[in-house]
Amino acid sequence: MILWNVVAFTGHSLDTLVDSASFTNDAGYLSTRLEGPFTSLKIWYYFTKLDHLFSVPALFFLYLGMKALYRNTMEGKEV
Amino acid sequence: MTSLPMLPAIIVDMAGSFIIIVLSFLSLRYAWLLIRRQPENFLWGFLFYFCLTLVCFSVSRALGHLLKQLLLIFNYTEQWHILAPYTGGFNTLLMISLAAVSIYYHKGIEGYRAIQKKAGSLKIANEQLEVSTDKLLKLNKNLEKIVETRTKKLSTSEKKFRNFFTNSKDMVYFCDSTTRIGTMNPAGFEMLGYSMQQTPELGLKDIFHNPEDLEKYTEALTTEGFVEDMEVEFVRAEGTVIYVLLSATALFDEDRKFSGCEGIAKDLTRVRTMMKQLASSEKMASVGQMAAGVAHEINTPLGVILGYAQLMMDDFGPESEEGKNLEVVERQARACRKIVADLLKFSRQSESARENILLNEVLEDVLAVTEHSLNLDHIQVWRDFDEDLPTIVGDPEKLCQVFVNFVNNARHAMEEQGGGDLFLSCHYEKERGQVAVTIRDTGHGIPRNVMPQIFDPFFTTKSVGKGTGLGLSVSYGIIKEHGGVIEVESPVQTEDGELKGTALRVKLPVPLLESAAVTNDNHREKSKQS
Repeated sequence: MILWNVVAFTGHSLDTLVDSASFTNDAGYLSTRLEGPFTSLKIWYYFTKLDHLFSVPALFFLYLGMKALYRNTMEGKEV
Repeated sequence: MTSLPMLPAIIVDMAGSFIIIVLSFLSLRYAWLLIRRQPENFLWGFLFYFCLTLVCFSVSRALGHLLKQLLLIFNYTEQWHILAPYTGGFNTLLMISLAAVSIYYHKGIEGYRAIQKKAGSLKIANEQLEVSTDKLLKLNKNLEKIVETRTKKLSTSEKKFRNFFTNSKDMVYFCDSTTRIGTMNPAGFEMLGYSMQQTPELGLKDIFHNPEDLEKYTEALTTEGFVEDMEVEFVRAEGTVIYVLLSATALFDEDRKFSGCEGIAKDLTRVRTMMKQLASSEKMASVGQMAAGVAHEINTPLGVILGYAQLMMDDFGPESEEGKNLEVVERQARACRKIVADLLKFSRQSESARENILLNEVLEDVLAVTEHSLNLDHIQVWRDFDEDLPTIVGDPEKLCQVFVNFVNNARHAMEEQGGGDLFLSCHYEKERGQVAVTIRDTGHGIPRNVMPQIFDPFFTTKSVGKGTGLGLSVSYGIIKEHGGVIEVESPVQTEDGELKGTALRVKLPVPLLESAAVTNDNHREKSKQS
């Protein structure tokens, strides 16, 4: 959760730091591209835009954990 | 590579947002199920609120992201820039809430652990308590069994002693410190003539005949702690005296203070009467033997004196001085012979006839002889004879002598007071197989101190010359010879109380075969022949 927050915070911060000139979208929003040269700022920016690659597995594990707790409780096991 | 496409990031953002919404709702569902199953579980509570906040945050954020992507896709960039601060702020608010829930969890979990620790201690204590309770239950059951067994034993013992107390033929009693009888068994009430239902406040002072005996009894109890085989006299409810053998033990309280006594009293009245009768019989038997010996020894020289006196009287004329002296000698010698004959009768050495006798007839003969003199002395005679008396076997002359003696004694007893009543009764006591003749007068009675001596030979209360003191002795010998008994009562005890005078009761046995006619026995035959 902390990592997710850090990534989110960093991502939103980088939104303001990365110049809009670094993006091109000739054929609409979906064709937006991040233009080089690729500084560490731009790489971090691109990385933080993929934050769901962390948060979704985290939520998935939370779901699995809750499910396991429920099953154990149903079976009467000590938690 | 000079550029990177943002499409993968857009796709990941949209798909991820959607998946996060789904996963957060699924997590919330399990948290909800958990909290429903165990509402008291702190962790489930936390997880539920965590998941709920997470759902809010996920929905807010994911919808924000989806809205952003959609607006940007459809070229509503300006609108997104307007909405962006609100969704960001809202997301931040929810994120703070999520953080607060997480922080709350950390604090809460500490409390929860502390509680769990306490709960663990309580659980251990509870387990120990359960073990102790089990032990206590087992002990309790064991105790119940012991109590039950003891109660049964106690009940059996109580029953045993209760039966002993109730069924005892002797008087068993318990007294308090003031010698008031608190509890007494039925035999005691019967012995003392009281009713169990209407018993008044009864104390030992009410039943002890002699106050000195009670003093000795209480003194012995307080000093020695017990009384053993003490012979005392008790007074019954109606006033008669009984002789008892008393044993008692003192009871002391915790301060060693005398608190009462428990005792047993055995009625010895009957035994004592029997002992007296036995002693009397033995005395009479020995006196009879001595009387017989004396009579036999005196009889021979007396016969010689009488014979010589009669011979000498032939030698001297009746008018001469010697003749008159010899007459005195002969008269006194004859008087002596009569006394000797009486002594022989008393010692049952004289000869007897054996006939079937109707005692009513004998009594009528006696009254025929004596009634005149009785009337002269103003003595009223009352008869009460059974008409269907059985016959007895005996010597009518001797029995007649007995009853004459009794009537004469009664007459003398009533002489001084100038008259009285004489009651003669004759009854058949079928169950005892005997005929009882009672001669009762209303005279002065027999003093208690002379009662044991009245059948002794030569014992008399009359003045010198008025009686030889052989009347009752001879009667005793005759009745004994007939297998009967003489009972004396003075004063006379009746159901209505005490009556002045004396009652002499003669009881003679009825032979088993009444019809067997007995005429004169061998003695009589021999007597006639001689």
